[in-house]
Amino acid sequence: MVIKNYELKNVNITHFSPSRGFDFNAPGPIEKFKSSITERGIIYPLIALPNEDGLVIIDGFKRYRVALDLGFASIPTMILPGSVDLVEAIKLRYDNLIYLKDDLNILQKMALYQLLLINKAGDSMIDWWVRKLNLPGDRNLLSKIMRILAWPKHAQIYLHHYHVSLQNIRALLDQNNSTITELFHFADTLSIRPVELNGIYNYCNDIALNTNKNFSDIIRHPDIMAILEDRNKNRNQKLVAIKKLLYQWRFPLISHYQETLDQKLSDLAFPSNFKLIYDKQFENSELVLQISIKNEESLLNAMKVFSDDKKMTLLKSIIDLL
Amino acid sequence: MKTINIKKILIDQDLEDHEYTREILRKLPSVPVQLLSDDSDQLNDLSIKDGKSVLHISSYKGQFCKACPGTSIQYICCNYQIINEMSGCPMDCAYCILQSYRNTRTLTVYVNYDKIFTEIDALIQSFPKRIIRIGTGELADSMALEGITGLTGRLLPYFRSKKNVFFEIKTKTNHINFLIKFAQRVENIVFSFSINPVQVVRKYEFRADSFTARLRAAQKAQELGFKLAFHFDPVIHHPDWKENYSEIIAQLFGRIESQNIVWISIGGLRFPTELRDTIRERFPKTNLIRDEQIIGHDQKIRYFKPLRLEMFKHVYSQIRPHSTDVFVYFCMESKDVWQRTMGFSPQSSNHLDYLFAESLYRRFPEMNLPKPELEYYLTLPSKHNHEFQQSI
Repeated sequence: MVIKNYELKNVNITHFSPSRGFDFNAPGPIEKFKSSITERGIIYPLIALPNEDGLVIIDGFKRYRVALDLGFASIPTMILPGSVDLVEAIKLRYDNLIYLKDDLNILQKMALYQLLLINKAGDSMIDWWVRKLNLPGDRNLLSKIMRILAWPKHAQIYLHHYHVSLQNIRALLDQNNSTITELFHFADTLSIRPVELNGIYNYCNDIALNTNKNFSDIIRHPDIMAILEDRNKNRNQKLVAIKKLLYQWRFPLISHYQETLDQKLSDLAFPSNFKLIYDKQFENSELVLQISIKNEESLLNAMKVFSDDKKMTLLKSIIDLL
Repeated sequence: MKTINIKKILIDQDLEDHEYTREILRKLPSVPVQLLSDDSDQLNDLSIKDGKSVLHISSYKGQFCKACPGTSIQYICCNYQIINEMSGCPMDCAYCILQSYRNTRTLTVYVNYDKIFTEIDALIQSFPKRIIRIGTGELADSMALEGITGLTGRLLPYFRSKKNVFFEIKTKTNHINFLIKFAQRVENIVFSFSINPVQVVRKYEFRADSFTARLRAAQKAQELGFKLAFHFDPVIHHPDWKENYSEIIAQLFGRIESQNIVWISIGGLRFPTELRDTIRERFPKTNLIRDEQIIGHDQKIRYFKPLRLEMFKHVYSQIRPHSTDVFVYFCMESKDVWQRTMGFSPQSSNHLDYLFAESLYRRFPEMNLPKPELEYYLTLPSKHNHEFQQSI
């Protein structure tokens, strides 16, 4: 799209319309921009579209907020001609965002979708954008996804930071804000990435439903809190320990089988050059035995194991378990 | 089944004047009709729920008859043949695989169904000594839309004349009455019912007919001379599952003569991993996906083997006292599960195919079926025969 006849001028800061319609940015802090703008001023002009309320910002929300904070009287602005309509303005905004990333995150997509609804865009235009943004065609589902625009600020910052797609938050759409708040606080505490967070959420949710408890009872369970507060564990160790605990709660029967088998394998007290491997999901009914033989002595020792009747009986009971 | 509420009919543009299209439209005179052009994307925007009230009249471009898509050589498949004569289902079972496929959201009926006859003629000619089991009901319930499409009624006369073929009509409905007029020479027509305890039907098989209604329909089919089959598939783990499965098995054999049952299948709940998210989204509180489940060799989620074994052993042990002869088989299970439940295991999918044929030949001598030869069955090309897979 080539924009002609635009006007470039310093606009009085009070002339901007306060609408956040086109603001698809993270609602995060603006401090880091402040020093740059204090030092050098606003180099790149804002882009704005005139309407009956004043100038609607299309691009440059952070610059605008910093300017307000710093008490600027005016901001350099590229004012689009009145002939540019909403459709073109949205495309312009979209093009600017897509220039930085290959795809918009789900929060940006839904903000754009909301903008279309607020401006009473026609069905065909909405359909066109829904396809372009690769959103589901089902309008009821879209309404449900729009709930993320009301999620707490820290959750929205997370969605922006990790550039989260719909797939990774789909399971969360029915959750209330208190669950969302707790989940994303937990994610922030251990810097958990979206795919992993999705898995942890599903486990917690399943456990809560299976045990008639609340999500909060699981994520804030004393055992989880103890791991989080353990000063002897680093972030990765904490995450591994929490995931193990959740697995045990989510799959008590499978965990019980695994523990029983691990105990029996340990009771076998095989030499250290023996390695027994089994399918932790118990779908394969075979036990794989690896023996490393370095010399004649280790070969003889290995053979002795097979003539130990007690060990062989125990081994048979392990195979029967599989 | 609850009343089918078709709200819209979509017709592929070139099929507007097709005789079968007109016949269907006559049965739904007040439903709005819309023609679909080739480039229409209307079908893509439908939700699963909305799609269940849209009838799409189309033509099928591919092959109607296929080998049943068993997907792992570690699990034994029975070499069943399926006919995808329709797709989509007005019922709404929480575990239904159709939820995974975008192209099965509408209730799609194919007007060029007569291709099925050519395909099956070719199949029979290729394997003249084989007893072929073939059925509808894979991507659609065979009887749910019969009142509108009459499709099973169109297929049935053809199959009645095919000597070595058992044609299975699978349903979760009691819509047996549509086929009463065909109740002559139906010895190779099998009415089959997927069954589950009342508690499971109520909780997971939305809009399907009750267990009792299905059983009554089975009884009616028996009276009319049809053969019967029952599918304990999916077996679902739930509170009091033992008592509940015992109860329906007792009821089943209380009403149905075991000599009229050609086969009974047992299969645990299983579904592709991607379906888990759909189920979670559509039925957020369901415990179908919250049990002790693992990802199997076929990349499908299924119950943990010790749990499956416990359930299968129980179901099997409840069936056998009523009939030592009826052919009971597992759908997509490992040799290990067969062995531990039934005390033996087929060695391969082809071997299971042979065991089916042997049972049918032995149990129904009046049908003059060809005597199955093990060697012949073992050398049949099979989707699940590893060597065959490598050679294609």
